[in-house]
Amino acid sequence: MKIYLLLFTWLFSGLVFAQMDLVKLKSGSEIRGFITEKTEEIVKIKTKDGSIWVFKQSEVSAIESFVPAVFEKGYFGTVSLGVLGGSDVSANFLILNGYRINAHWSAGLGIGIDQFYNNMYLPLFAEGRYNLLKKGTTPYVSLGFGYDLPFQMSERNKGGFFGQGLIGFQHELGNHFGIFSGVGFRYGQLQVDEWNWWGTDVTTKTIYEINRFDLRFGFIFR
Amino acid sequence: MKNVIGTLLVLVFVFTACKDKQFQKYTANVPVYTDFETFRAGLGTVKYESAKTIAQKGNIYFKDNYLFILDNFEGIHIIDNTNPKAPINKAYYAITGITGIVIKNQYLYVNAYTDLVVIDVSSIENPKESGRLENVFEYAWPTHDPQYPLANVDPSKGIITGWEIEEYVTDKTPIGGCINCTFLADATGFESGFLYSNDMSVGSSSQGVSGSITKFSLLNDYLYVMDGNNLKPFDLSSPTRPSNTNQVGIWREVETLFTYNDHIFMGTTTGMLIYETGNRNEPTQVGVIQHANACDPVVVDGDYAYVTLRTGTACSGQQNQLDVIDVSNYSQPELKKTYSLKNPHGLGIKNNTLFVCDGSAGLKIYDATEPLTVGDNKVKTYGSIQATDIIVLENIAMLIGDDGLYQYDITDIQNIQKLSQLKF
Repeated sequence: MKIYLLLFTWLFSGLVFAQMDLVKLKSGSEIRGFITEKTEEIVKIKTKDGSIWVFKQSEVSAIESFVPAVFEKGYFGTVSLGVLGGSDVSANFLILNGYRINAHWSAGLGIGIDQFYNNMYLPLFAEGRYNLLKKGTTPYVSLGFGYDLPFQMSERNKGGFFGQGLIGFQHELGNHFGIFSGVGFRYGQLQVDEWNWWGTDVTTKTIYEINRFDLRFGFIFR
Repeated sequence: MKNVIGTLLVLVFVFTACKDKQFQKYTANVPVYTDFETFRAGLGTVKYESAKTIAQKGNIYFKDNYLFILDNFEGIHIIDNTNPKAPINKAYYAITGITGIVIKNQYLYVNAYTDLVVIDVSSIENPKESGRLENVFEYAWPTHDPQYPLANVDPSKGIITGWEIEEYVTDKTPIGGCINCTFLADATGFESGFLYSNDMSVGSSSQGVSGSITKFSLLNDYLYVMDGNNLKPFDLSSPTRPSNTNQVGIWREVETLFTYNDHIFMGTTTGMLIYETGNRNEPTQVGVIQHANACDPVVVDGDYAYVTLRTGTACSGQQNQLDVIDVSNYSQPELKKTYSLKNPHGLGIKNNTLFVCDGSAGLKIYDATEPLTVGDNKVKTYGSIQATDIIVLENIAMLIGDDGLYQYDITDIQNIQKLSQLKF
């Protein structure tokens, strides 16, 4: 049961964070917190420091879900750690520089470190992500593709293309900071030239086809 | 609890479904198959066609004024040599997979990959398949581009009738050589040989004259075929229904079969073997003489065998010479003399006259009346006649070079006269 909870928590950590609310007052002020009571006359909101604020409805101009800046249009960055598992297991580390086009769509270019069969690779990749909700906590779907460059350049190790897909949750922890987690699939082909045929130019290329599930946890910066 | 088990099962499924794979990709000779039934009904049977340009020289067979030039794996060129001064390229028999030929009476015996095919050629213009022994030869395939490895072969798919050079993907290691195809590959890989006449003349006879590089040889009512590492006897007492019930393992690389005086002489890359055929169906080795690695066509006349060793071929070696071997005692062949040559290819002997095609040094003719001094008794050298094979008939020598077939009148060996040439 503990394992179950641990896995669930790890994979869907975004769910444990409730969505924050934003109360906009006619005076121009904005209060961020969790609404604890809402009637025809009043609105109660509890802020992070534990204070409870009570406003008359006549003072309130709007009540919205709080969308932190980290999910607003503009540049952002992520770092993530992943476990690529299956018939073999390896870890990887990715850094992505992205641009949020709107509350739903973002795209970016990344670099990182992969390790397959005792060889280190430098993955260069592009990724697109779609947030299903326009909220601070939202499920997402991402797709990416790239090329694994051999970390140690050699004539034999050619690296190869890969593609990956993730589904998961992301959640804001502050105006400029968030976390995300996900599970997905990574496919790639890595080529290693093994053997010259009778001294001619014909070589046998050994292709490693990478089929891995991808468990990922990362941070978002703005 | 059910949720836990369900989740774990899902995770196990995901984990086990994600398996890395490893395979090889390389440019290779990829086989083109024709299933056995289609092959035997089409490509693997004889088809008469009009004469074709002779693109490559293969083995040659002569019988009843017709010269048969093999177009390896494709068919046979039929040359009407009734008038040696004006041979006529008459017709073509298309037979896919052919690399060997003999003729006994009116029946032509050839291989079509795995099958022995009997063709009635009593009418040259109307050849008819009159018998077939299926699957008697090892599974084999045509020559391939040696620049590239072979893709994996699946004999269950049928006969390999060709190759395509293309990118090949497999989880198996490429085949590094031509396994099980010695019989066919050697037939074309071996560039030269000799053609020899057993008391043949231009006229009618029961069996023809075979080229030396062939691995088909007739002896009495038996056809002997070198198939890979096995010598296979075929009983031809029923000409259209040959039978094969035995095979003899020969653990050397056999290049040529030569039958003489109820014995089989085998030229191998490492020596000459002698087999006696008292039991026609089970030849037994009686003698052997070793030599260094080289190509070694062999002819036998009386008590002596003449063997040329040659360098510069797939047989490698460091020798270019003519060996004279005493075979008066078949069980104890003995090297008697060795004479240096430049680059000897085919040779033939007739009426105590030995003809040796010595590459760019030309055709050399020796008086072999005294075999032990044959190398010292050179009668004539024709430097301009550069050939690789020779057939010696009573008064005619047929020489094969890279560019054509040449015929000479050898009535006067001091002054042989060109009769004709057939350009390839």
